[in-house]
This record gives sequence, C-alpha cells and structure tokens, in this order.
Amino acid sequence: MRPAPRLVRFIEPLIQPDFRGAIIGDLVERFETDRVHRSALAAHIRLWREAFMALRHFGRFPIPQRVNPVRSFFSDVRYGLRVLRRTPSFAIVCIVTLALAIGPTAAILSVVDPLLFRPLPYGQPDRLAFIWERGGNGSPITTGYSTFEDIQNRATTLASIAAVASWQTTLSSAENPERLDGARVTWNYFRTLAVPMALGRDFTREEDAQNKNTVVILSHTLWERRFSADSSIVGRTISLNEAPRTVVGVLPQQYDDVINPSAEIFTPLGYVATLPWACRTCRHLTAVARVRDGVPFDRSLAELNQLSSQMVSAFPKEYPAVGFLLKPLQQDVMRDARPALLAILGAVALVLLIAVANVVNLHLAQSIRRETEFAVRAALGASGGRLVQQLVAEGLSVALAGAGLGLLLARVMLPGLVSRLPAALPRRSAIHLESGIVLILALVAVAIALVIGLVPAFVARRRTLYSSEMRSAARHGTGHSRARATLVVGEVALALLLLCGAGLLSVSLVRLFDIDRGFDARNVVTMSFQSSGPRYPDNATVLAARRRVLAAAASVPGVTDVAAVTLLPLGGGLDRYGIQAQDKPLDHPERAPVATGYRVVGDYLKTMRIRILSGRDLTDADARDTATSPVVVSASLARTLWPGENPIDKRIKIPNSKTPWSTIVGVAADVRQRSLNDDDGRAFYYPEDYWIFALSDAVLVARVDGSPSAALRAVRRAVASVDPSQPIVNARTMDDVVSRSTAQRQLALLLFVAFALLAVLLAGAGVYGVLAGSVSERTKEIGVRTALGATARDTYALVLRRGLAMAVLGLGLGLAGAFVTTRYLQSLLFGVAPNDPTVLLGSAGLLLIVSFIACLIPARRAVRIEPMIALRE
Amino acid sequence: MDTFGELEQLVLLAVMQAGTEAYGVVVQAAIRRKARRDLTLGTIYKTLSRLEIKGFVTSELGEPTAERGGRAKRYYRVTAAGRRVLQAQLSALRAMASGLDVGLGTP
Repeated sequence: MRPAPRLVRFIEPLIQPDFRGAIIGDLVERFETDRVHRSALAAHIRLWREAFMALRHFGRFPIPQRVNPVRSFFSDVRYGLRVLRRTPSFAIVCIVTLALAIGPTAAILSVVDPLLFRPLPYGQPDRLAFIWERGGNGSPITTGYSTFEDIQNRATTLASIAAVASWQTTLSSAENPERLDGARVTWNYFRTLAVPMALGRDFTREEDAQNKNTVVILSHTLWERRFSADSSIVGRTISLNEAPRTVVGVLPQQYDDVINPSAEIFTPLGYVATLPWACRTCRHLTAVARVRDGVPFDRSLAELNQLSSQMVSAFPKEYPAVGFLLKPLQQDVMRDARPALLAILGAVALVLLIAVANVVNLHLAQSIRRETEFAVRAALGASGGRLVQQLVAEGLSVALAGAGLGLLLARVMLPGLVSRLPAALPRRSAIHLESGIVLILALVAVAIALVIGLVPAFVARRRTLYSSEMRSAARHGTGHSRARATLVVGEVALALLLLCGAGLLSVSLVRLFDIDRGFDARNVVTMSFQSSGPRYPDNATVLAARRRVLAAAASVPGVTDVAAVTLLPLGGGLDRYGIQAQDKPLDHPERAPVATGYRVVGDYLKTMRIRILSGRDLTDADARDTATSPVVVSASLARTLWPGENPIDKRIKIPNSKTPWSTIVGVAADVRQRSLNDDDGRAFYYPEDYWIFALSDAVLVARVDGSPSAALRAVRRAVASVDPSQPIVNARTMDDVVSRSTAQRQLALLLFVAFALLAVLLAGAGVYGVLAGSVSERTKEIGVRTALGATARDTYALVLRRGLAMAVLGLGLGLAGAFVTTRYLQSLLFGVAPNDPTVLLGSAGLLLIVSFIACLIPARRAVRIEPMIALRE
Repeated sequence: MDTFGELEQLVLLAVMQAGTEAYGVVVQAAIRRKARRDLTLGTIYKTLSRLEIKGFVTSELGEPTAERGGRAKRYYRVTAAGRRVLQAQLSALRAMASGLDVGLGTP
C-alpha cells in the first residue's frame, strides 16, 4: 500500500469527522483503482474533482455554493474595466502613476540582476575566484608569472589556475585598421572558466610558448563585426600589428570577459619563468582559479597562504607581505559598483512604494464616491468577501495596465541607462529586459492589486462598526480620511529620503568638480595613437614617429602646445612603480613608496598646465641626457621620500629594475590621477627616450585656442596623416575624459534626481488629494462656519493646518529615516557627510514648500465656498 | 407522502444493487455502469446522508482496512420505509408510461 496522495492528506482534516473515514477511504480506493485501470493522469484529475466536491459537501469550512470563484472573478475584471472606462481620468492617473514607478523598477532590475545576482556565464561560476597577492597594506595586488607558476605546480586545492594580462593590438587592414582590446591568457584560461568554443577549438598547451603563440581566439562580437560571422574564419590567417596570426576558435555569444570587459581577441601568454618579464616582481598578471569541487574556499586559502610563506622565505626581497587573497569572482568584479547599484535599487523601490501608496489613496477616495454602489450591492446580498474580490479585480486591471505600460517604458529607458554605465563595468551585454524580470513585475502587479483591493475594503469594514446610521457629515468618511492621511504621511517621508539622497549626491558631484585637480582640462584635446608593426622595430623608430605626430599636431592652426604621454590622469589606467631614493636605503624593495610614472615626449606639464613648484620643467635636451637622466616628481612624492628636505638634485630609481638613477630637476603640483576623489598624487615624469623600451601606444594632448571640440577633428586628421595605417581611438576633449571618470556618480545622481522629482510630485499630489477630498466632504461644515462668521483667514488656517500637519509629520519621520539610511550612500559621497544638516534640512524645506503649495489649492477652494449654496445642498 | 428526487432514486437503487457491499465507491460504480451517470463521492454521500436523516437508509461503520489506509467503510442499507416509497414511486412511473409509444416499454 503506497501512502495516500498529498492532496488527500491535505484535505483529510478538513472533512467533517463523521464522514471523514468513509469519504477519504473511498477517495483513496477510487484513486488506486483509476490508476490501475485508467491512467495516472486520469486518476489525478478525478482525485482533484472528488476532493473539491467532498470539501464542498462535507468540508468543515463550507465552500460557497453555486459561485464559481474563477468565473465570477473574470466577470469582476470585466466589470472593473467598465468602471474604469466610466472614469477615464481616474484610470489614466492610476495607470500612469504605476507605470512611472514600474518602468524604472524594471529597467534598474534589468541592470542590477546580471551584474549582482545572475551567475556569471561560466561553468560552475561559484567555484571561480581571483587569487591576489597581498600588498604592503594588505590590499590586493596583481601577480608575477613565477609566483603564478609556483601556485600552479604546488596548490592541491585548485582544480586549475589561469593568468591573464590585458592586451591591445591593431587589426591591420589597408582601408580600416582597428585598435582592438584583448587579453593575453595562459592556455588553460577558457578551460578554467569552463567555457567551450562556439567554433573551432581552444588553445593547446603547446601554443602557450614564446614564438609559438601565433594563434588567436575571437569574441563573438568581433567575429560578427569584422568577419561577417563567416565560419570559415577558423584556420584562416589575419594580420595583427602587421604580423600573421591564425584564428583557431570563436567564443560563444553569451561569453563575457569580466576581467577585461572590453576584450575582443585573445592570444596565449607564452611565458616561461626564465623570461625577464616573468619575474616575481613583474606583477602584471591577474590570476583566476577554479577551486576544487567540495573544497571550501577557506581551506584553499589556508593552503595558498602556506605556499606564500614558503615563497616569501625563499625570496624575501620580492614580496611586500606574506599571504594571498582568494576572492569569489563575481563579488570581486563588482565590489566597486555594488554599493551604487544597491543604492539605486533601493531608491527605485522607494519610488514604487510611493506610487503604490498614491494609487491606493486614489482608490480610497474613489471608494467614498462609490459608497452607494457598494451599499446597493451589499443590500442585494453581496458578501464582504465578494465586494473585496470585486475591488481586487478592479485593482488588477489597473495594476496590470500600469505594469504593461511600465514595461514599455523600461524598454525605452534601458538603452540610455546602459550607455551611461561606467565603461569599465563588465556584463553590459547581458543587460536585457529578461522574462524573469517581467514575471517578477507581474507578481508585483498582483501584489499591488491586492493592496489596492484590500486596503479600501479593510477601511470600509472598520467603518461599518461605527454603525451605518451615523452618517452625519462629520462622521462621514472618518476611517477613509485617517487611512488616506496615514498613506500621505508615509509618502512624504519616503519622498524626503529620496530627496536627501539626490541632494547629497549632487553636493558630492559639485564638490568633486570643484576640487583642484592639478591640471587645466579646458581647451585640451586628447587621443590615443600608436606606432606598431614591422615598420617600427625599435625605440628609435617609435620615438621618431611620435615626434612626427607631435609636429603634425602642432602645425594645426590654433594649437598652442602639444605633448605625448603614456597615460592620462583620470583616463582609467595607472602605471605604478616603487620608487627608491638614493640617499635613503630601502630595507625592503617591495615596500618602496609607489608612484605613477608618466613617460613624456614634448611639453607635457606645460600643455596640461601642471604647475612647477620648484626647479624646472623637462626640456627636449633632457631626452638626450642619459648621464643624469632628469626627472620631475610630484610634490607628494617628494614629501614622501624627503619630508622637509629640498628634493632638487636628489636621485631616484625603480628598485629591481634596469632603469638608471635619475636626477630630480623639478617638483610639479599633484594631480588627481585615479579618480577625482583619490588624493594620492604621487607621480613622476620623465622623458620616454631613456626608458628600457618605448611603448607603441601613446596619448596625444594638445592645448588649443578656442573651442576644443571644434579643434578635435582637425588635430585628429593631422595625426592620422602621419601614418594612416595606425588607428586613432578615444579622441575626446580632456573635459570629457574628466567627466567620464565620474560616470558612476553621474548615473547615480541622474537616477536619484529623477526619482526624487517623481517622488516629490507624487507626495505633493497625495497631499493635494487628501485635502481636496476633505474639503469637498466638509463643504457643509465650512459653509456653516463661514455663515457663523469665520473669515477667509480662518478657513485657510483650517485647511492648511491639516495639510501641513501631515507634511510635518511625514518630514519628521523622513528625517529620522534619512539619519539611518543615508549612510548606505557613503561610497558615492564626496566632501559631504551622510547626515549633512544643510542638505537634510534643505531637502525637508523644499518638500515643505511643495506640500504648502499642494495645500493652497484646496484651501482656496474652501475659502470660495458660498455658505448659502453649501447649506442648500 | 415523501417522494424521491431522481438523484435519490438512483442512489437508493444502487444501494439495493450492491446488496451487502453498499459503500461509496461501489454505489458510485453501480450508477456509472448502469445509469451512465458520473457522480462524485461527495454528491453520493450528501444524498445518502439526506436519506438517512429522513429514515430511508441506515448505515454502519465497517472494520478499518489496509487498502484504504486504515480507514473504515460506511455500509448503507435501504430501510423498509425506503423500499416502500421507492416501490410506490416506481409503479406510479410505470403506470404512467404504459401504453405510450415513447420507447420506454414495460419491464
């Protein structure tokens, strides 16, 4: 005997005890017979029918007879639609309000879901982790190949470990050379991520060797964009930096490289530990590992730390600290964006709450107007539950229409939203309005419908306790107006939270743009150019080409200063080196102070208007002075190395490197390098000429008279004329570069301001609605007051007092809430405390003014009430 | 004078057909087989309990059995009163139908 079906066990206690054994026993018997003689499906269908009828006839909680709940629900929906058609403005306001909240909610959820919640598009992504070395201050730093190889050979808790470095290359082509972002990876990179190729094959171990790494794998987008999705590409040869490379594979469409989000082409790294750039301190590799199934990350980390202490005791001068960091891939990739994304998600949730409160409020007001209808229906025998069902059905029509419109809105908003995301954010291609999100919003709409239906019903039911005879004007609608006032107080409080957030973010951005960034971005244009390929085999040819580019740019009318530099401040990249002072012996070369190195050709400091604080700027002659190899350091680097001393003529060098000792000839002002809010200004500037090798890539900076955006095209043309086969990318004004560096803040601010405006508007409408309702309910009372001698002033006071009481209560609650919640914005704030009283009180004041205006309109209507007309009604 | 509705007639006749084994599933099967009517157990028990209140059937609980998950059967029997009213009603029906050419015939 198998156990009874779950349904039977569920309904058994619900059957009247006298008949329980008989009926349930028969149900089981019938079910078993059906299963043998008919089919399992037929048996189950029969069982459900039997169970329903048994409950109807013998249930302890009888099911209403002759009412098919489903059929009557649909008729309710139809009726609801008719009601809405009769009051189109009411319906439109409700639907638009909900759409304005549901649209942004859907859009934000679509952005946040793939970034924070959906698993990365790799096999078993929860087993993947970054392995970082531990820096001097415990922060994560990248790793060198020799360290990587030690981990690969010795760690037993890792299924595999791969290393990746970013890579730029040029897809050579006569008519359309293109600069590509890519990555150099160890042969097992895609195997570690568990990503199979869509076309062709993965790299082999043999290909990951110097001079054998002449193969590439293409991303799906590159394959489509440049090779027309031609599947015969596999095995064909393409030209990168004018050298032949064989395409062996194409990645699947859903592949997304979270480590190098813009990478479109991949080639094997080709290192062995004996290469000079594979050393332990050559830390330019990111290590990503798959931890063995069933091994907790803690245990793997313990093993790695043990390996680290062995490495550090073998090579004490080459590690700043003992230990590794093992960070789950998805969390670590999103660690910077996460707080902002969560804050925005919270903000949109507040907007949704306010919108729902507003729509419920509108329905409460509407239900007062429909009181007669409900009374008639009740008198004709409609039960309370039946009336609730009616209201929920009407709510569902409104909520689903709002959700539908909102989803359309989300579709329109989403592309704009994605284009404003910071460029460095991975997973952008995965941002779509997914069916899962549509489903979630459908459920939200149903929940909204329940609230819309249940709140007025609950309020109405409570009010009947007052007894239906007490229908005097004063009593009329007491329950309603209390409920509506409560909702409005909540709306004002939530709107204040959003307004405070928007205020704090905008103050932050203003302060951020206000700070002295150390250079003058106005009237400067920049672009990246390069000199790569067989025609530029050595430093001399690269540097000669660079000088030709500078000369061409300088000849453009309006250009006053030009220079080339290896990286731009706030441009997204950093080139950091440890710095050793000759007169200060280092006890540990890896713990030397770190500074960003700018290799320059031409008048870089002058072009950028970076002030020389003492000594002199670099000159063209310095480039040839290999004996002293002059260098300019930033003020904060000088302070770090020689606090209180004059740094001029002191000598510095990069420890563990073949660079010469350089003589300091000048001190420059600090500039903001990583981001506007990062005040680490330690930097050094030196002529590119005496670095070990000249980078094939450089950034041109040119200062122009007049509008930089107008000059941009002319300068670009001049640069391109030097060698048309070399692509130019990122041509933009320096102001644009600075602005882009704050993309995340700007997006957060934009959204918070939009949400706050919407929230304030809704809260204002809420205040207005409640007061307007109460004025029309109290028309008679106000008429009596006026007849008895109340002045216009008294009437204003009567209405305003009530409205402002709601507003002030809401503002009080909102301020209390703001004190608790604004700290979640901390990571987005700059130069302003989360509880900044000016911002908080200012926001409250603004909202108070809006509420006051919202009160004035109904108050004016109250004053205009003619006592005679009011009393006659 | 009591009369039976159609449902009550069907159930009463099915109980009589089933003899000593008259409980829910058996009654249901009899009605389905002979009258081609698909009644649910709930409906049948509702009818039976109505008839029991009026005194036309009696019921008693059987022993709990394993194939029903240890639940007892409730056996029904038609009382003399039930039989009498049924006979009267059926003979009235028969009398009314006799001589009519409506395909009813006489048993």
